[in-house]
Amino acid sequence: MWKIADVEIESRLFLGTAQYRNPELLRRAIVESGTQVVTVSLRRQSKALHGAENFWGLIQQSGVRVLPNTAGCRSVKEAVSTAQMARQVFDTNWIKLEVVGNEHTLQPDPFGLVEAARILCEDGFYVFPYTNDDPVVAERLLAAGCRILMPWGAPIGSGRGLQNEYALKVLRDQFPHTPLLVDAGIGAPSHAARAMELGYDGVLLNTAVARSEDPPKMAKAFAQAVEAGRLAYEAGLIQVKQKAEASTPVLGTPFWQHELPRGTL
Amino acid sequence: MTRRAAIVGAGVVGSLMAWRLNQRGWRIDLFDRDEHPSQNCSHAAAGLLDSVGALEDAEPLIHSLAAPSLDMWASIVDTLSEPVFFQRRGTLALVHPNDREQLDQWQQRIRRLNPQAAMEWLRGESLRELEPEIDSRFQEGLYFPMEGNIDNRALLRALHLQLRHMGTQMHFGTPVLSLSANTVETSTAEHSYDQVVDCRGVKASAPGLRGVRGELFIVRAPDVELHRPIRLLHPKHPIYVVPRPNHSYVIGATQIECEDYGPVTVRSALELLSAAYVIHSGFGEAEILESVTQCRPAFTDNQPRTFFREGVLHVNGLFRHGFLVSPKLTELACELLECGQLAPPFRELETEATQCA
Repeated sequence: MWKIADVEIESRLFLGTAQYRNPELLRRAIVESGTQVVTVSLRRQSKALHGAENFWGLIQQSGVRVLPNTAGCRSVKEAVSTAQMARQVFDTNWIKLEVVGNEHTLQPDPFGLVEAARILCEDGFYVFPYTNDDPVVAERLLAAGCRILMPWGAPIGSGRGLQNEYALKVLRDQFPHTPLLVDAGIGAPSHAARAMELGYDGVLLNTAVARSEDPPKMAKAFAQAVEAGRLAYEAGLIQVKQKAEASTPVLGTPFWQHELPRGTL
Repeated sequence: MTRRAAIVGAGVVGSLMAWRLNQRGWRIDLFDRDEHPSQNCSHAAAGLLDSVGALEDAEPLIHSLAAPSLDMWASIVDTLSEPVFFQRRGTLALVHPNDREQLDQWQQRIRRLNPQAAMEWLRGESLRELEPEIDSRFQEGLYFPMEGNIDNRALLRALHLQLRHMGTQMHFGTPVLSLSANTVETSTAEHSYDQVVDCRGVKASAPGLRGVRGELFIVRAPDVELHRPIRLLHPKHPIYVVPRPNHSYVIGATQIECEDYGPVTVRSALELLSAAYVIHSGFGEAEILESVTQCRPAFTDNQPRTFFREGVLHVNGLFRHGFLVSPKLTELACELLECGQLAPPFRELETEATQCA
C-alpha cells in the first residue's frame, strides 16, 4: 500500500489506454494488470466526449482512477488549458503534465514543464510531471509545487528500457521522500522490474502492453515484474562483487571431493 | 407460400442480405431512413479489401471472413447488370524510413497469425516496377498480392438496381420507429413479416454497439497514377490511398474513439492529406471533391456479430470491415436463419457482445 495525494493505492503499475487494437483488449489488460490508475489523453477526443460514452464508460466501469494527461501539448498555454478542460471532464485535480520539447524524440521541454507545473499547482492541481532525469529540473518542479516526479526511462514508445540507470539512481538518492515513477520507454517486464529494484515507487507504461501480441497477458507479466522488483527492493539486493564467493563453505568437505587443479595427481 | 422478410438498413450488409435471401426464394422489403442511402457507413467507405493487411489490428476472425469474401465479390459483381469497378491487383504497405520497425512488427504479427498469408517484401526496383510513381524516399514495402478494392458506391447503386429488378420492395426515406421478430413499424404503417433482420449501423438495437469516428477525403488527382491501394503505416490511424476510376482517389481514414459526426477537423485533414502528399507529390495539385465523416458501428472487440435477439436476426458491428467481410458474413447469417446455428469456426459470431456503459 502506498499513497498519492492522500489516496491509498495498492498497485504500483500505471497503465496508458492508447493504441489498443480494440477496447475489449484494453478492458482485459486493465483487469490483468491489477492497475488502479490509468492515463487518458483528452486532447484528441475532447471535442465529443459525450459521444464517447461507450469508451469512457468502459474505463469507468473498470473502477480505476483516471489520470488525464496533456499528451502532445507543445506549449505552456496548450498544456494548461488541456489540464483545465480535463479537470472538468473527468472531475479530478490529477493531471499528468506533458510539455513536448522535441517532435522527434518527444523529449519533455523542461522550461515549459516547470512553468506549466507552477501555474497548475497554484490552481490546485496535483501535477504528475513527465520529466527528464535531470536532478536540477526535478528540484525546480518540486519548488513549483509538484509532490511527485515521473522521469523518463527512454523516449516515449521506444521500448528501450532504462537508458541512464545512473541518472535514475541519483534522482532516487537525492529525493528519498518524493514518490518517483519511471514514465515512458519501458519495453519489457525486466525493465519495469529493474526500475522497481532501484527503489522507484512505480512505473507508468502504455505501448509495451498495448502493442504486444496479447495485451492482457503482457499486462499480467508487467504486474508480476513490478511486484517482483518492489519485493526485491524491500528485501535488499546484495552487493555486486568482483569474485566468486562459495555459498557453501568447503571446510568440512572431504579432501577427495575438492576439485583439484589439473596435473596435481 | 413465399416467405417474406424485412431488412432494416440498406448499407452493404443489408443490401447483400436482401440479395442473398432473394436468391434463396424470400420476398424482401428493404428499409432505409434515407431517400438515397448516402448517409450510411457503406457510402463513406473506401472499399479496401485488405484481407491480410487488416490483421495489423484485427483479430484472426476478420481474416477468415475476409479471405472467402474476396472470391465472393468477384462472382457477385459478375451477376450485376451494371458495371462495378473491382480489382484484385494486390495492395502495398509503405512505411516512412524512420518507422521501419512498425512494418517489421506488422509482418511478424501476420506471419504468426497466418503463416500461409500471401505477402512479400519489395525493395528498390521491384517496388518501382509495381508502382513507378511513389516517392523515392520509399525504398521498401510489403506487397499483399491477393488483396483488392471495390468501388463501394458503384456497388451499392448496382446492387440496389438489381434488387429492384428482383422485385424487392425498397422503402427508402422511411425511418423505422420500432421492430420486432415479425413486425416493422414506420410512421405510416405497421408491416408484418415471417422474419425481420436488423442490418443497421450504430443505430441497430444491439447492446454494446458504439460509434468510432472516421474521416476521409475523395480527391481527383490527374497527376497521380497509382494502380492499387497503398497504405502508409502511421502510429495512430491506418492511412490509405485507394484508387478509383478516372484518377479519383479515396484518402482515409482516421479512427477516433467518439461518436461525433461533425465535419473533418484540421488536424485530421493535415494528417490524411500530408500522408497522401508524402506518397506522391502529385496530390498537391489534386482537387478535393468531398470530405466525409462517419461513425463505424463497433462492438467492444471490434468484431462483427450475427445472432438472434428476441426473434430478430441481427447482422451488426462491422466496424471498418463492412466491404471486407460482408459477402461471407451475410452467407453465414443466412445459414444461421435456416439452420438455427453456425458451424464451429464461426460460432463466435453468435456470442453476445460485452455490454458497456
